[in-house]
Amino acid sequence: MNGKPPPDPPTAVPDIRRDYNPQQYIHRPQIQSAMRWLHDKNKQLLTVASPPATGKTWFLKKLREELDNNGIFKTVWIDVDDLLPPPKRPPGEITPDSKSAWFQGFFQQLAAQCPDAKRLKFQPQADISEQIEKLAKEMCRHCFVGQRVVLFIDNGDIVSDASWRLFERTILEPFAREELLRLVIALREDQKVQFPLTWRQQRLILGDLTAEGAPQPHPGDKHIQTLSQEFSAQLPQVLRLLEAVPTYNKTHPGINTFLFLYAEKYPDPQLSVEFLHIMLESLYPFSLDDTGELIDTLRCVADYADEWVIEELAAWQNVSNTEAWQRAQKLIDNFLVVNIAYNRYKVADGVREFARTALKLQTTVVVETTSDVPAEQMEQRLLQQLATMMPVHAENVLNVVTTPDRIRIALDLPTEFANQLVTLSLQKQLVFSDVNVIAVQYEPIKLRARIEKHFDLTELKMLCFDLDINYQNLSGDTLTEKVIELVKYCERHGRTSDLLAALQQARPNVPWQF
Amino acid sequence: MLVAQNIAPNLPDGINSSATASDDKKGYSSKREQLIKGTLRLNHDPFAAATAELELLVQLEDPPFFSYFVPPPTDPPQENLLESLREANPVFIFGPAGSGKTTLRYALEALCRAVPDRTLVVAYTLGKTIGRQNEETAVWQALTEALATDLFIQITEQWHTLGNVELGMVEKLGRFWYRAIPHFNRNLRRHLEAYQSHSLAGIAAWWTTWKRATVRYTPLTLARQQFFQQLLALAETPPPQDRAYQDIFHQGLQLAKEIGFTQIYLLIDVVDSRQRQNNQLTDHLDLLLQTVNVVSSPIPLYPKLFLPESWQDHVNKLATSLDWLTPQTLSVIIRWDKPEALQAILANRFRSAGSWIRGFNTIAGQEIADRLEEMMYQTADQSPRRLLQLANLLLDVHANREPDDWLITAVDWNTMCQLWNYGSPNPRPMTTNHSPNGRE
Repeated sequence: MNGKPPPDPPTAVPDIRRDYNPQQYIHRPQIQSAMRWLHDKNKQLLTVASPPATGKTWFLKKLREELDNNGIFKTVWIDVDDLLPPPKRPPGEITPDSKSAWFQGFFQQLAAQCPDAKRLKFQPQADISEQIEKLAKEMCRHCFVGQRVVLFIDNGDIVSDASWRLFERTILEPFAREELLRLVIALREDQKVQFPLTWRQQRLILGDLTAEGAPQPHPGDKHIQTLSQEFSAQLPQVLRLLEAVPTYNKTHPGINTFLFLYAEKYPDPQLSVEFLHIMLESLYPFSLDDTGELIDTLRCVADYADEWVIEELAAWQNVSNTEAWQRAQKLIDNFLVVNIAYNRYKVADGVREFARTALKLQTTVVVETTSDVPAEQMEQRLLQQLATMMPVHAENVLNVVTTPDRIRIALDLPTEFANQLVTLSLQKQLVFSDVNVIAVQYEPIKLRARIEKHFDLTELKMLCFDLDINYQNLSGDTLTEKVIELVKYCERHGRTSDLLAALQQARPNVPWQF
Repeated sequence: MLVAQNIAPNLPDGINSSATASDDKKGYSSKREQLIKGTLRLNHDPFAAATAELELLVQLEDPPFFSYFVPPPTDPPQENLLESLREANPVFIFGPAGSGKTTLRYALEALCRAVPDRTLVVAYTLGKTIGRQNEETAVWQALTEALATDLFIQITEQWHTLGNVELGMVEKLGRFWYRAIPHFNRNLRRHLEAYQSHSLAGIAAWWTTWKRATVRYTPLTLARQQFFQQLLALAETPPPQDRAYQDIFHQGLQLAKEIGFTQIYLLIDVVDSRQRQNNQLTDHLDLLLQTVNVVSSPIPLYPKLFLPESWQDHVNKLATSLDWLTPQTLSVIIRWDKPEALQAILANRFRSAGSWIRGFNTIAGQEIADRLEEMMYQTADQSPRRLLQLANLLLDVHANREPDDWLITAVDWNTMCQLWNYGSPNPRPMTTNHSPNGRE
């Protein structure tokens, strides 16, 4: 990761939301649910919901293709984007003029397909919603007799909430008054339809590419493979990026596509803060105004833990609970964080892994090996073995401690690699030919930084008093020096557990146990 | 957007839902609003009212009330309750007080109007005429007014689908409405003069004048304008003499048929009443149903009743004597006996307020995060109304204490317990000797 930064200031990769090439489609089990929905007479609407850039358009187009191939369906497509006046930038506002212009074109397009076009007469002065009601009836009962008309509505997530409500009230509801018509609507996960549509909807959560069961090849790998057919020149760069983020499972269609488009735009792609900026702005166009601030908060929550509560965020960022709540709300609004249950949150899958790597977040792990060779030799062997899995060098070694029966090698690694090593170790899959790894554990090397973050000198003095440690005997004057000395003192005297207990008591919301 | 005032229910002494927000939070009219809109960032207060009538007054042009709706669980269970209610059969829905009978009635009415199928849906509330002189006449008058009001609104909503309505027909309709709907001319003229075209509901926001909800966008097109002008041009018709209301009611049924409606659903529910009024109410119901039974309606008329559970035996006997209990008749009791159903009520309200929050446990302090909702459901005692009263009071207590903090704590709960005056079972105070992760 030593290449040049992108040559231009960060800008979103604009094509991320483009229509997906049908050939790129990766099977999703939800397509069966959608086909079953067609037979449920009580559910006139199918709302396909997911966070932005997870393939809703792609899914709708595939479903439409299936229905068109069937022959008994007549499909009609509405792109909400077409109702927006330029510049078509989310969240857009539908205006009376833009709506009127769209409807005229839409009406004439449909009338041209109706065998008895005389039945459909566009009336420029008439109310659009009333014309739509009549149009829906004509389509289902006269124009496409013997066919089941299915209306697809895409890009409903690019308009403001107010415009979406207007669209729902004055366009969707009149269509839905024709009981023979079926509607498929793509929405953001947080978006909703309201009465009366909500009562007759079936909601389908699209999510990522994770398939039911374990199809081969893995859908994430398959998607990368499929994309590489279109972007063959970019594949080496994309694979290099993916190697740097080993825990990313490649199931986020938007991120996968972004990687190729990014590599196309920036031929020497680097995982940097700029990369993260561009990725977030490309995936989530709503965060344009304050991506920098969002990334600052993201840095914090991605650094500390996979899951967390608001009080922990407050402690980590040294802000009030209310301020932490507001920061978390912003992250949620921008799809970067999701609420898992109760007061528990996590950074969205895919974003978390890339954020940790791009922000160069480090985690220390301790690899415990047997001591059948000298420590220096063991260190060399371990590095050689690890280098086959990840870019690890001698600089990553923090220290090596030898005990009578073990050698403990502390490595400061990118968080994603550290997580990967711990996971493999827990699964007993970390097997090397000439290094006998006993365990890989997280090391409380961040303890010092965390104490510094949550204590000032006065509070540190009180902490020492509680621990019955003479504060004056700790060398140094600055907070950093004092904290280093305190941690070392506790290690030397076997009192680290006392220190952790005292820290836990003083700052209960901060995770002190690593 | 029109927003009704003073919809907060009576709260216990010691809680002031409109307590002024702190000086540094200017822009919010109360601590409650500061908590709801500022801290929790809901786009409206979904727990402000616990009864359907009050909830309909929130955002008159686009009431979130219908989006709150959760089909009530019933005994015997109904997979698609609303669709079953919409079938052309008599319906008997029973339920305890606060179980959502009126909400269900509103929901059926809204569905019939929002997605019309030539059914005229008439909503009648039993009990509003109690205490008036000559109650029988009062019942007929109220019933006729209900028919006329619903006919006017549903004709207006569906005007563009009715084809050309002859002037003679408009005159007949107009005379009927003048006689049956008080101040019809004055109210219609007032609305027409004050109409603003940018309303999200169009003219549907007018319906609150006649105590009907806004359920669909209804534009003031040229055709509707002409229709209203023709109505306003008619001479005022004096109200009828007492006994004439039965005739006018029959006239309304005939007009409904002539304009194109093919069936009528008469939705009857009951205002909450004390026990001593129950006998009067059942007498009214008997009178109403016997009369409806003998009405020679020109189009089929199906009664759909939403009644207290305690009336079940009485109504069943009556229905049997009227030969209404056929295999097609739907008769169920509302039973909120599963926490998931109550949970859906809270989740829907948060969702309808534009929030990702799905329940109170999400905004509960860690020491109570795993049990707050469970205790709410226990206290609700299978009553959505009690659940909403509890949620409302809890939010008020919390807003009074700390509107900037989103976390509801055991302190809030215990204060709420002290202020609770919505009857037994009373909420039980919480202990707080829990570990930080919320588990004992």
